Amino acid sequence: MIHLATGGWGKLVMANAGLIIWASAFVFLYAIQAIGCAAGWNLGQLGGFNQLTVILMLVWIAHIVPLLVLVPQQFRTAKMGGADRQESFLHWLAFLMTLVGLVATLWVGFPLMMLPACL
Amino acid sequence: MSEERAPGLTPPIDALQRHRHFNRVFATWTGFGRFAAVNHSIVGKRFMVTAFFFFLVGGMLAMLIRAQLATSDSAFMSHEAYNQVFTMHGTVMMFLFAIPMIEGFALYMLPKILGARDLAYPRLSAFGYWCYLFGGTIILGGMVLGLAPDGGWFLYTPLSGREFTPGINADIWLLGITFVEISAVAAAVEIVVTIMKVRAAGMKLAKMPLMGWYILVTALMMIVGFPPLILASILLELERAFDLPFFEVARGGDPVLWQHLFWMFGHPEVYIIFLPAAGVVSTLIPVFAGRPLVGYTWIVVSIIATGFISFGLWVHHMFTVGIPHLAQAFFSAASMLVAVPTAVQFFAWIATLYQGRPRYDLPMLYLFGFLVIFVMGGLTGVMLALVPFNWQVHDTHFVVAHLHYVLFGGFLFPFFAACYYWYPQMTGRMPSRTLGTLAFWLIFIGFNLTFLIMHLTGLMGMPRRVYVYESGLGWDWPNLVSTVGGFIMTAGIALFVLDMALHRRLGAIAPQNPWGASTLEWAMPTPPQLYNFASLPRGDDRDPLWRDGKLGAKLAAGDGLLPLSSTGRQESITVDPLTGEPDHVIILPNPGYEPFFAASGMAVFFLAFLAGFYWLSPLGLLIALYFILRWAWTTGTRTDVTPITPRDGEKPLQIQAHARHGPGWWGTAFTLGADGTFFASLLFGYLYLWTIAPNWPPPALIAGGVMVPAVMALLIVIPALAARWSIRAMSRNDSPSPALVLAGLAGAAGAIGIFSGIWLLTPDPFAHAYGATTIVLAGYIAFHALVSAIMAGYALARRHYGYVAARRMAELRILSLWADYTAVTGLIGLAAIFILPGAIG
Repeated sequence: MIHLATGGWGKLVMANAGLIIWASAFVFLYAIQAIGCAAGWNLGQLGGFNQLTVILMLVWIAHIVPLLVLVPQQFRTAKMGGADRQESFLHWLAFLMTLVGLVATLWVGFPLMMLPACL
Repeated sequence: MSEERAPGLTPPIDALQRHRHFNRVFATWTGFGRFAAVNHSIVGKRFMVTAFFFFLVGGMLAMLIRAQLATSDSAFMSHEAYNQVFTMHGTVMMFLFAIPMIEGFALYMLPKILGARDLAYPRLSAFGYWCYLFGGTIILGGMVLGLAPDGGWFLYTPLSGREFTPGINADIWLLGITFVEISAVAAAVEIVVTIMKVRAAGMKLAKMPLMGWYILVTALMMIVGFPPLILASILLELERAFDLPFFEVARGGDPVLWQHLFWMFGHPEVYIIFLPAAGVVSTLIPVFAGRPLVGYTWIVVSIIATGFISFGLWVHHMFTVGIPHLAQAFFSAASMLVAVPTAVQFFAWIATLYQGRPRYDLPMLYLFGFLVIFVMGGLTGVMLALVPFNWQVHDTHFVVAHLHYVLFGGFLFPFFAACYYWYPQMTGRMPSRTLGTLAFWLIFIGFNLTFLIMHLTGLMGMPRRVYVYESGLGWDWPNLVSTVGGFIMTAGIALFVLDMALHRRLGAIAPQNPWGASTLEWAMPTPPQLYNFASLPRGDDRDPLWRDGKLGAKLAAGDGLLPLSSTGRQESITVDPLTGEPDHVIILPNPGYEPFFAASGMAVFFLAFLAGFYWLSPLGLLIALYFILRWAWTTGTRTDVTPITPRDGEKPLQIQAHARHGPGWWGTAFTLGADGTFFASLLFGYLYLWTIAPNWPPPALIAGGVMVPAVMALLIVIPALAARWSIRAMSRNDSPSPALVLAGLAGAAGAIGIFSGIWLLTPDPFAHAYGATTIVLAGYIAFHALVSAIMAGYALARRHYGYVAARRMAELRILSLWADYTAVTGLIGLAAIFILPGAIG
């Protein structure tokens, strides 16, 4: 086993967490949209809205929430600095990347609010 | 000459004696022995020279295209010849020039900027070079014989299927490119492990030169981005050679699947080409601005963000194939988004120039060309990201103009700047400022004359890939202007070639650091020796030569680490990837013919396939396997080795054979990363056909019940468990042999049992894409089980000859990693084969 945290790999993974979450959001939104359209999920209604659009919205929000939690956490960590410049660099890297991940996830999912799922 | 006493090893020696000592240790062979060279400087230069040759070939093809299109109704070429020429132009420039040039640059330069003596696996890069050369030769040979591929550089199906392209033209593309892609993945693994592990002692990630970050992200993108294309090529070749349907609609295939797989590779490819070029810009601008680059952390974030987001753009090449608007909007949004991190880098470059004291020199002139042209290409890229505009100009010359602004501006201008900047480092001579300046203006004016007006040609509706057009459509004069511009640009490139060729011998002798650079590749004699550094530098400063201008002389005098080779072999240091703390001494290989012969075996495989001698192909693979095992055999030791003291007062370091996770393990891990992407792409294809393709569900599904898949799953899991058992046994000094025998037998049984079993249970794979994809999945699982068996047998032999011991378990750990991967992907694959059809029905 590789010890992620002690070996530093965990820090690298955490630094990329924001964009990994964005990538997950992107893949799931595209895949569920394609599968949902093929399976006819768009034909039903959920709470007065198109069923597939609601599902996609939930997927989108499920990715935004952890990002909204991570961004302030990582900002606080980055503001506190680190034991040395390397650690401080990694903390700022993690914060900025998570912020990028949040903006990218919001931006890419935004068309959900404007377009029908399967047209 | 200063004198330095090597730490407890030899009497004091001076810099000249040290130079002679390392020249002996790093000696390479002459005559036929050149085929055995593995040193990174030699292999890197071979890559670059070969790639440049292909660039000239691609350029000449471009001139043929421009000659054909100069006037309406031209009779210069037949449509058959024209199809081959434009296909080969794109193929050569993308696959045989741009990517290999980047690989060659990285292989040559990385150890020098990272403060090391060589790469992590010099033989792997040599193997990659031969694969590239042989693959490129196959493709070029096809053109010489008039059999070049002619379906466009993206080889869309169904045009490239057997029905519409019956000859071997498409096979040449598929097999040649796959061969070259093997080289690219090999280079990518080499680069990633080198950057993570083989750096100067103390070079933390936060201190790594930005070029290291650019190349690291590029190589990771290659590991993720190239496997979808390799998969697509294999599937299409299986369809063409054996009639297994994947892209043929009538039998459950879908040509759009090819487009997805191709562009999953194809769009990240643009950034794979751009990022190293941006790395050149980020390296050169601080030198000529006389200050460190503004916003190091922001640039690192931008590089990584570009790497991620570039994988979310591929569908913008497919906006006209009928994908739902919402899905198009996801990709449109991501396509616009990717401009932001690029813009951040632009602002950092401008801010650096603004805050520094910029001075003009030849490389800066080419960077000016880059800044102007790439901004224009980037802006038309944002235009093309907009779906309605994209529909309007799809497949017109507007797209041709855009992609050339991006690739020429984004890659070639930085490439020319890099050539002028590092020319003194590589040759020890200065290029001509006069010739270089003249070449620049010819290229810059010629380029804009060719492609600026081509936007208009496209907006006026001229489609791509047509070999003639009628007069009177308004396309005549812009095409003529483009052709004139193309020939002016060619004259500029000819001048550049002349400059490079002439001044290698006639140029003024270059001073040690002619541009006043700050990075470690200038802390060595120019041209560099094969050992790079007589003693290894520390990496605790981003701009070491600005802190200490005499660093090169100090290192030559032995004022660094490993100032002598205590083992008489080529030594460098490996570090903790994050902190840069030295952890082991890596023993680098001497020259050997194994990479050449292994690549030759692969060439036999591909050529036999191309010629239709399918029975002969496995022989090629066996030859390759034999030489790869032979090369692996020369690693490691049969006894525990005393730790090496890198310098007086430093902590002694074990050699890498004693490492828990040495470079071999990391190389396997990243190779499996590429393999995992291949598997994910295969699953994507399988699911895509299930959900999207017409003529599904298939007429019949796989049989098998519960017992058959359960036994198969067991055969997949046993090698993984046995490999872990072997490690535990060896740790206790017990024999690992029983566990290895079990792993080998279960792996072999799994390979044979799973493939033959699924073959028998699956409905006719030639009748429907369902059976065909199922068989490919089975083949994937069986192949990995077979490799587990071979690795277990190899570990058993290594144990027998004393290479495996309680403190030297690299073979067992690598086997365990492979078998774990095989178990996980095998179980997922079996679930896809046996459970999914029932679930979806």
